[in-house]
Amino acid sequence: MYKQYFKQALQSIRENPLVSSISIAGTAFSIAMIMVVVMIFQIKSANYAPETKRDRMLYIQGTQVTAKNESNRNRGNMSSEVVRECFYSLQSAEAVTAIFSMNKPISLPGKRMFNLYSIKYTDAGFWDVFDFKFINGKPFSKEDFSSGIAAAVVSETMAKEVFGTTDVVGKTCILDFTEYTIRGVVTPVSRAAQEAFADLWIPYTSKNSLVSINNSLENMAGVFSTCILAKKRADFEQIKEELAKRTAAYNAGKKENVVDFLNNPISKLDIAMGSNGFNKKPIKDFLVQTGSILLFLLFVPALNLTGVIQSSVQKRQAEIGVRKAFGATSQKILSQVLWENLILTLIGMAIGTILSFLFLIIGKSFLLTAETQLNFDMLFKPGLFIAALLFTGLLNLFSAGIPALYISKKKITDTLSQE
Amino acid sequence: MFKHILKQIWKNRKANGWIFAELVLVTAILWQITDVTYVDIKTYNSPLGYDIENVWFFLLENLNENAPGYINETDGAEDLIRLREQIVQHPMVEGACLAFFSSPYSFGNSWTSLYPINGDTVAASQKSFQVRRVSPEYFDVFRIKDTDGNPIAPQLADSDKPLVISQDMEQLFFPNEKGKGKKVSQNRTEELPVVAVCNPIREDDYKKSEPCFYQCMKGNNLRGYIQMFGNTSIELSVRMKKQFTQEEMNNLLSEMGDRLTANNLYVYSAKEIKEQRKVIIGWKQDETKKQNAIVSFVLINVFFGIVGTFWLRTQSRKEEIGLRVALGSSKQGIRYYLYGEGLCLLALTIPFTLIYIGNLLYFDVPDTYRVPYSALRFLITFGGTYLLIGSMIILGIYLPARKAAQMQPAEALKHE
Repeated sequence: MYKQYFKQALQSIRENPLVSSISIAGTAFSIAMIMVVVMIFQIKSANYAPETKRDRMLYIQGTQVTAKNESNRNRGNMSSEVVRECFYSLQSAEAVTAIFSMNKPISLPGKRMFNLYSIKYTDAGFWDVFDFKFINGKPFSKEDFSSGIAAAVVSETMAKEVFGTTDVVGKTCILDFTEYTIRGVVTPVSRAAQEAFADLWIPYTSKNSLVSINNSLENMAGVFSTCILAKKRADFEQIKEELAKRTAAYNAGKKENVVDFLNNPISKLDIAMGSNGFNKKPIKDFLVQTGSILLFLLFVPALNLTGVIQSSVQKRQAEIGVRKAFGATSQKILSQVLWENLILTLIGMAIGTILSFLFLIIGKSFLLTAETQLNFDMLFKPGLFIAALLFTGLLNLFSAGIPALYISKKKITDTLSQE
Repeated sequence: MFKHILKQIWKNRKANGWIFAELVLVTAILWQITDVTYVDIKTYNSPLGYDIENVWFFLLENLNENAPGYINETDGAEDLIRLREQIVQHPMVEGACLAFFSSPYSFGNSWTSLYPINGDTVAASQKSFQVRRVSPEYFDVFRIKDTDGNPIAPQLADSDKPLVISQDMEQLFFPNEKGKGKKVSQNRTEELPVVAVCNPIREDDYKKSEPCFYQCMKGNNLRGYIQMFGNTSIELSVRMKKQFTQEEMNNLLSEMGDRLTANNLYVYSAKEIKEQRKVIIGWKQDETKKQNAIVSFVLINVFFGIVGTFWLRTQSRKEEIGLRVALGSSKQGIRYYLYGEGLCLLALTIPFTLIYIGNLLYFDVPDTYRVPYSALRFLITFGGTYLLIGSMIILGIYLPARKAAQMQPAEALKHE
């Protein structure tokens, strides 16, 4: 029977190539746009090097220091003291890292240069949280960090630009007029991995002003954001509870101010759904917003297709009348129209899927960021194809549903009377 | 003929209904996007009030305590003032100024209350205003002129704490009067003189100008501010005499050498303000591109819908068309007839669109803040929307119309 539907569908394509190709193209465009929306969400929360453990990570992007009498409120980032007291002490986490980014020039001994590079002032935990590939040497150690040694890890790109070679372990570069010894060289990472990307990574303890005590706001406000790596996703709640406990204990020791982390910690999934460290976006809002975009992308072509299908069904009403007269039930007619149309929609889906990758590549700079590097793992996920099938099914139901109902409910005499 | 077309459309309402529903939906959405785009373009193209061409931020840092050359006892404010003077003396530099969170496209900003003395205090008491704390050279570096087109810097000379207010603030504080020579107060105790009124200032390319003012920092006042905020959180903006690429600028910086250091304070690099502008308005431009993607999607769908509907229509109406040709309709006539039918279908959406627009205006959804609603805006956005969809319809009917016109009457009537 399905074979029959398939034949029918092919026949109708042959009979009316222009209209069929327009239906297919309309479906393809709609599915392509929908897939792009789904893929953007997927990429924003996907794991990719060096952030290969994103699904197990929690981010703290934003810190608030409030006076106990609530006369003053300061929003920004945290000091190294808060990092030490509230985060380094977390038992339930696998690893924790604190990060401060800045663009600075990197010079060579005896030659001052002005070209800006991205610098990350961080700690030894950074190398556990993120997954870097070392082509030479190794990361700076816990000991380097705790004694504030001027040690550095550099990216392959920066090593080539500044030294002309990647064989630079043991060599010296100069940052802020301080000599740093290079310990390791890593393969370059995507700029889109904001928390991990840099050209030079150094222990923040090597810069006095980052660890010195700042008397304003009782040394609580500073420049750091942090990332927590959980052993497994299920530990998120436990980590949040422990962090709240540590923060309360730390605040108890302060006279005039308390620190808190607003909507943090948040996961990449929260971020992909539109939340940030300062504001939580309710899941309902995200669903309504994304849902209405998807509905629009489905609805406009569905109206098109309905018109076309309506006309072709009307054209075939005599045939359907005959089938009915020989005993086909309304239900059978209904499913016949839907199945036949589904074949057209599925062809549209196949083209749409290919088209969606094309759209994503063309629109990458404004849909994501120009620096995002798309790769196979990021895009080809089972969820994507389930979504594609689901929306194709919906589109088919929207566009063929009404004409199919119309023709299946029509009385035999009416359908035949036109003959 | 018009009446005849209407009759035809009504007769084919089953097939026309869907494409008509689509047209109603897309005209509404397209009009909304056109309106937003109109406001954006109009705002983007109005004057900013300043000029950042060839102006660079010189980025400042203090020496680390353990770095060679670190000096224990220095006056950070004096160092900064000296550093600025050293830089201005370079032959390639036109001017340099200092500002705290107040340069164009800087990431920070400050807001404060301000009251006019003998002016409209009611209007002023409800708002806080953006204050830009700047050194006197700022107006030359960013080419900000007063409302008569004269340079502002010479007008600052006679006062210790001169204020420059924007034209928007002048109108708010002193309606129908000249602001220059009036006095204002920040805390109702100290009266500050308004020494000049500058052209309206817009914070960035997509924002409307707001009432705002400049507080000029001179002498001890300037030193006090530097001590309060720290000498590295200042924006040192430098106007160059010619255009530089980043590489040329890096070379110039290394040529400047000792000029870029004053005790512990040093310039570590320079960034063109244009680059920072890209970061600040980038998200808005991304939004615009996303809107354009939606517009293209909508237009392509209109095209597909029209081609599909009209192709099937010309087929099912072969007899009618054949009859028309047989009775003397020219090919051209048939074609015009079909175009007329498509455009008529579109014209029928006008009442719906007008109701939609009326509703949105009633609930104040369109952006009337940046650009007030006017007959011209309505004509451009409404006309633009229909022009776009109309041209898609004509494009979509072209193929079916050509086919219909080529039909031989004998062949067409064979069906009868």
